[in-house]
Amino acid sequence: MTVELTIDGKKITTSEDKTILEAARENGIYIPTLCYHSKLSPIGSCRLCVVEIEGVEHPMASCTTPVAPNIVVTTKSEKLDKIRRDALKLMLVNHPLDCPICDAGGECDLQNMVFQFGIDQVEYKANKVEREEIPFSTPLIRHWPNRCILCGRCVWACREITGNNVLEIAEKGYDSHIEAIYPEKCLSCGECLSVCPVGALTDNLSPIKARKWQAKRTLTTCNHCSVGCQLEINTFEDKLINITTKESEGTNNGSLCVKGRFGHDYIHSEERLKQALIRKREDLIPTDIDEAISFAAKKIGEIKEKYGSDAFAGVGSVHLSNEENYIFQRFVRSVIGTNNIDSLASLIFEPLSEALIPVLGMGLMTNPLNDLLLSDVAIVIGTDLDGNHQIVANKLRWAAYHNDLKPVIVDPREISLSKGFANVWMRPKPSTDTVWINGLIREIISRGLEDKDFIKKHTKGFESLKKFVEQFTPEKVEEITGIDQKDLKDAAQLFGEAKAGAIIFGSGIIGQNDSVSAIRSLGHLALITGNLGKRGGGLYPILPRCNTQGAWDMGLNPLYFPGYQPVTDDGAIKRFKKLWGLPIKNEKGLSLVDIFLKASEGKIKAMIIMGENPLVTFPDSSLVKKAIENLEFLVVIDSFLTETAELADIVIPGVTFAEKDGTFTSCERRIQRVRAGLKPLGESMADWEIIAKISEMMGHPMNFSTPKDIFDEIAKVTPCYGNITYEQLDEKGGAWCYLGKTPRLFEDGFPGGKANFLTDDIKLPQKKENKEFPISLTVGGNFYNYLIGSKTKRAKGLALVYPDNFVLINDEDADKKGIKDGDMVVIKTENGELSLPARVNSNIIPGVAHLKISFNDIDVGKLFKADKAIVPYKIVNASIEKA
Amino acid sequence: MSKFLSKQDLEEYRKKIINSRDPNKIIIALCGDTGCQAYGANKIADAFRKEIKAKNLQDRVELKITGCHGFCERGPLIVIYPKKIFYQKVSEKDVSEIISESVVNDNVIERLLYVHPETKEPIVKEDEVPFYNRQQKIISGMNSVIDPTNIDDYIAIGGYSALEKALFDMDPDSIIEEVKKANLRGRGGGGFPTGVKWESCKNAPGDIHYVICNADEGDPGAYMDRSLLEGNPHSVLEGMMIGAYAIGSSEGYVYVRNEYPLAVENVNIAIKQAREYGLLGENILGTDFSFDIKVTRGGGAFVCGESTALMASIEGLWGEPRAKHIHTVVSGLYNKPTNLNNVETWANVPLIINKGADWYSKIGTENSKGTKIFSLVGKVNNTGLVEVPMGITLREIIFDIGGGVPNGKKFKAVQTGGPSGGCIPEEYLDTPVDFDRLTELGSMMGSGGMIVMDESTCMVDVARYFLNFLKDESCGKCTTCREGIKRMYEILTDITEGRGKEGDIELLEELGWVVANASLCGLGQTAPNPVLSTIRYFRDEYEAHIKEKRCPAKVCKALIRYEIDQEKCTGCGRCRINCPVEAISGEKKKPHIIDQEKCIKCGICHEVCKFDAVNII
Repeated sequence: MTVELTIDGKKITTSEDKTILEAARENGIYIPTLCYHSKLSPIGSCRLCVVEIEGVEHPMASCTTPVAPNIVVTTKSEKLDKIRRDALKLMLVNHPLDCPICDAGGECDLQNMVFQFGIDQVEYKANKVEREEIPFSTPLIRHWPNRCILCGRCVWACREITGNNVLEIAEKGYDSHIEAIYPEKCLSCGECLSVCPVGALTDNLSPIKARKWQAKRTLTTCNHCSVGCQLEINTFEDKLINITTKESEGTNNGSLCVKGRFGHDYIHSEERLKQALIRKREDLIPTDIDEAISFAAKKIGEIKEKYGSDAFAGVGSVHLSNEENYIFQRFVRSVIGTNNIDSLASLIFEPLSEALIPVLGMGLMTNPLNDLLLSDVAIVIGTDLDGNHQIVANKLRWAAYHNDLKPVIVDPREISLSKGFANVWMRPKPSTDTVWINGLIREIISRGLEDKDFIKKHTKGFESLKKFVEQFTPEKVEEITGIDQKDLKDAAQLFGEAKAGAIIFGSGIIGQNDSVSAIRSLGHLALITGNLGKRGGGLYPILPRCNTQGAWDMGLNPLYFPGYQPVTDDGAIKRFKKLWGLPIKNEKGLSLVDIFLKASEGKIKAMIIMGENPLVTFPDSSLVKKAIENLEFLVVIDSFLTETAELADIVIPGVTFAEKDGTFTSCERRIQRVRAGLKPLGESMADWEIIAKISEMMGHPMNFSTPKDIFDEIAKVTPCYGNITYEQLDEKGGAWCYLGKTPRLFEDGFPGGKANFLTDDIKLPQKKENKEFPISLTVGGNFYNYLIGSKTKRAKGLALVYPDNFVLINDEDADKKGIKDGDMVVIKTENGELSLPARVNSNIIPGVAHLKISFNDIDVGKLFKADKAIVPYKIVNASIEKA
Repeated sequence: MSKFLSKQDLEEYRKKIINSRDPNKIIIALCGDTGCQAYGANKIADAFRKEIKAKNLQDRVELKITGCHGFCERGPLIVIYPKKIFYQKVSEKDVSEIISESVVNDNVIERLLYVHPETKEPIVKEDEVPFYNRQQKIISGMNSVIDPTNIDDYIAIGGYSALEKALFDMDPDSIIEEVKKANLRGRGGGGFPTGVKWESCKNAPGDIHYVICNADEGDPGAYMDRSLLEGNPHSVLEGMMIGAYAIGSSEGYVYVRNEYPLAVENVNIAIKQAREYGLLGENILGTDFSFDIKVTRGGGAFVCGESTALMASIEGLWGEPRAKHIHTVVSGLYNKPTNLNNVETWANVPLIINKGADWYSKIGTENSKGTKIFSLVGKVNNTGLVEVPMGITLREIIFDIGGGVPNGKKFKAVQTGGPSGGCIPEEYLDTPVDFDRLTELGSMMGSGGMIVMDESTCMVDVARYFLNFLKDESCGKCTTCREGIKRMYEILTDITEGRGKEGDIELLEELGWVVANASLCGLGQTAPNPVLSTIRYFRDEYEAHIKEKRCPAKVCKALIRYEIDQEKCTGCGRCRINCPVEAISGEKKKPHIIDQEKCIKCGICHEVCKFDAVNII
């Protein structure tokens, strides 16, 4: 419905849900504001936006007053000017004029407003109230209570965006002040900081400061998780000052998590490599980078000559750019001539693909993350979103706050979303997910809540599914998984009735035993409820690192060229041979697990590891160690001397994401630009340049002078990246890969016409008691965190807010072993053992323990064994004893 | 007790109670309200119980601890029924005499009677006391008759018969029509027509509707609502039930300040009893109507009396008002349609239903119907609660009922409407009291506070006092209210402390205008009233403070000094002995003097001097 109204004599037509302020702004009519923020519900505290409405006695705050038909609004008058000036003067009485030393100087809304109104004196003289500065809810932010104008934005932001209600306006009247009333709930995301209109909250991390007009702002993509947040790197004299955001950019809409906002200071870490290193006997000796590159080229050539191409393997990176991964696989496939190339992305995509491609035709996130804002039920399985992908959690909270989204949380652990937020919280025993998911399917069908039209129109094999799930009665589900029957039934009713239901799942499913069966069952669940190809529906596998998706797309894979063109496909071979000008092997290569297995047997002789630290990040560190020891030659390209790099023969210094151009592809399949805000440190150079130089030294110049050149080639040869140009990425803030008219998969139907229900390969968990290793040890965080640990605190800000590692044990289990909170314990598995302090409580169900793997000096990898392509990297049987 | 399953059950029970009660039994109604408790009512009650037992009079006499009778100035109060003998300022030691004289025998103890201030004649019966006989206690009258903790007392006087009528003889629309016809206006201060509010709430879409009783009475000196909840909680509950039935609500809240422990206790007891009788809960009196009430205790923030802040507080959020462009009747508590009325408004409802709109609307003025309870306090002889018909003049309330200003002092002004009301000077005392007339005078009805001031009250100091209260009670959200009130308070403090300067009055007027015009809720919009109304009527006092550095009422310490009249002083030494800072010196039998350097202007010398020799200059 639209309404007509008059603002300042101008006839305006707008929709009825707009406020007067919004209607005015749409029409270029300026109304001053301080507390208003377009991301937040109107606050109405500053009173600057007052307007007069004909026939209404008092002036009204335009930010909180909706438009109404035929009202006549005046935004500028003597009366209003008086109110605005007085309101500003009243703020100035207590606000210190410490602008020269305030972080917000020059970008302070109050400063701007006072200047704009030309207020040069304040009649009210009063004793300034000195408010005591008390520590804020996070050490990363400093609170300056005297500068606060109590606009309320920070409180609103914490309530509406992060949903945490950490902040509140305490006391009342003149004693009102902002206080962190639940500091323990603070995620340190800095949302409050980002909305503060003055300098009452400031970044407490960076020692370097510069004014807005002095700093260089570079818009880029965050390199932590896979959400692909857009952020601005602010630099001054080639040093990072801080990170800010632009509201209009990215799926993050101006928000960030603690890692995005405060986790980038590692760029200036003292531990960064500035020079190449070359092994001279036992030691790695600094050397000139060109010398190192030419030595590497020579050595690779020699090994290829001596043992053949297949004695060589390449490991790419889930946090390097598409261009770097593309050029790397091109180098390995053409210059070296082998398909032995892979990355950690395969740990995720192997099970996803195997589970979903036969059912749906694709094994990817089906909908853009912003679809979650439209969902009315979301099932979140096996992922602590706040800990790893807070922006996704924020979307759920936004939807819960504004759209009445009902969350169903599935996790044996208590996580921030499970208590207080979840409508239903199910706590299954580990590796029993297949059972409850099929139980849920059965319950939805038995209630008649399946989407019959969708099933009929878009699927095959429903009858066999119906028959298959018969066995999963609520009683049986409870017996096997430990999930309360009522919870399962409630979840079924909610999800079955949902107009748009989303299924979000993380490594708790992807990295477990029998992950393929569980993920396939989730595919079935989405299908029977008609939640695919639908706004607000969808399957959302949550990927760990910033370019996990891109690494997979770029052909860091022994089976596929870029864009999933099989390496055994003659047409593809012909095309790439022509493009790259070198012969291509018509044979599958070795997967990551096989690369390490073969290397440990001495069958792989040389390796290039680019931007990866498998000794810490691969879930079997013993295997990696053995593999590396048996190599004749190892080249590592990295910006730090990682545990893996320490074992290399040559270490070539790469750069961080802040020093290079390129693209990342986020988990929602969005290709976004990475832009250099800083110059490369010392002699370090972008990984793509290093590979190109090695190739050139080996006699095969690639003729790329910028990452844009590489992207142009990618777009040409990668079907799912087709028709996308670098310019488009810059202009439109990214592009969706995997075609389609919309960023949503399956809106135009399924590849091959219909989706399939496939129940034959679904494996059920085998009940076997493991007397020696009775505890299911689950691990969380992600395998790729190279930023903090007790030895290296490269990201100082994160080290401040993340506590040291511990193993979480259920209190009953601990009791049996005489373990008390804080005791040191020894965790043993078939593969290795670790010592750690224990945390004992009931936040985890009996029989399960949990360990964070965000600490690079605690070798969790040695507890695991990798001997098959799909590695259950999230769970292992263990025993825990008091040390 | 089994639940009433029908109208008949209740009626039979009512008959049973009435029949079981001997109309000639002597009842001693002792006011047990907070005020009289402070005077020692509890000890008196114990003494009565003991005495009745000792004399074995249980069959002849019954002690009833009731709610507030209203005449708080004269507490503790008792009324002995059926003869309505009224004893005032009763103490523990009077108890056995009362029993022997007025219960066992048929005598009246003259010493305990109220003496007519003019005729000096003692008055025996309660309803002959001038304080009472000019009132029209249709709402608060039952307070002195029933024991608020006993639902049977309420039923015996016809309680819950209005609910019966509403459920069985009327439908929701006709109830709303009746309330509209009665033109009942909200007693919380706004004066919004109650029936119209109910109708909007009833018509608001949604399956859940709430009703709320606002008992967050926060005005200093006002206690009408407290007395009703303490003295007759069932009348409030019955009003809520009728409202809930009319609106289509099944859940109600009583939001009561935690500083009212007796009110909290009594309303909780009343709810419990009503549930036991099946008057709250599922299928009330066998009908389809189900309704229950929860009690939420407020934490003492004045602003939580504002409807949206109150609802936020019930939800456990910061008690902060929100913009009301979407009315709470459409989206209130938990974003559901919510009808909020204050205690007194709800208590009016059973009366309107029982006696009809025609009867009700005969009381009052054209646009303000019914009665209003005021708490009459300050410089007035008869402080207490008074219930008067709308349209009565301020003069009648203050002088006829209130007995005028004590100690022969001159009346100066009356402050109505709570802390953000205004001060009305003597020239307007003949104004009939109703919603509209008080607003015209720059004050307001508010919830019914009425503070009388005499010539020894400094109007600048009064304005400062109220702003001091409001600066602390603003929720702190709107810049103009939070900062503006504080700045006005500071300017007023400067004026009263002798630092006033030219232009301060204009600055106060300007700032007052901004605060009133730019703030969101009623608190901010009315907060400048005490200042603006005193400037309007007593500008000369402000000017005296600022220009002459003089406080005409001789209140502002910085502007006065105490001096001893050397002619009058007898040198008795009383002032010297009582001076807390040893500022007075002088030999015996010779005139004393005050050392102005040492004097802290506490005024004790002035008070203790028997010869009127200490002057305030």
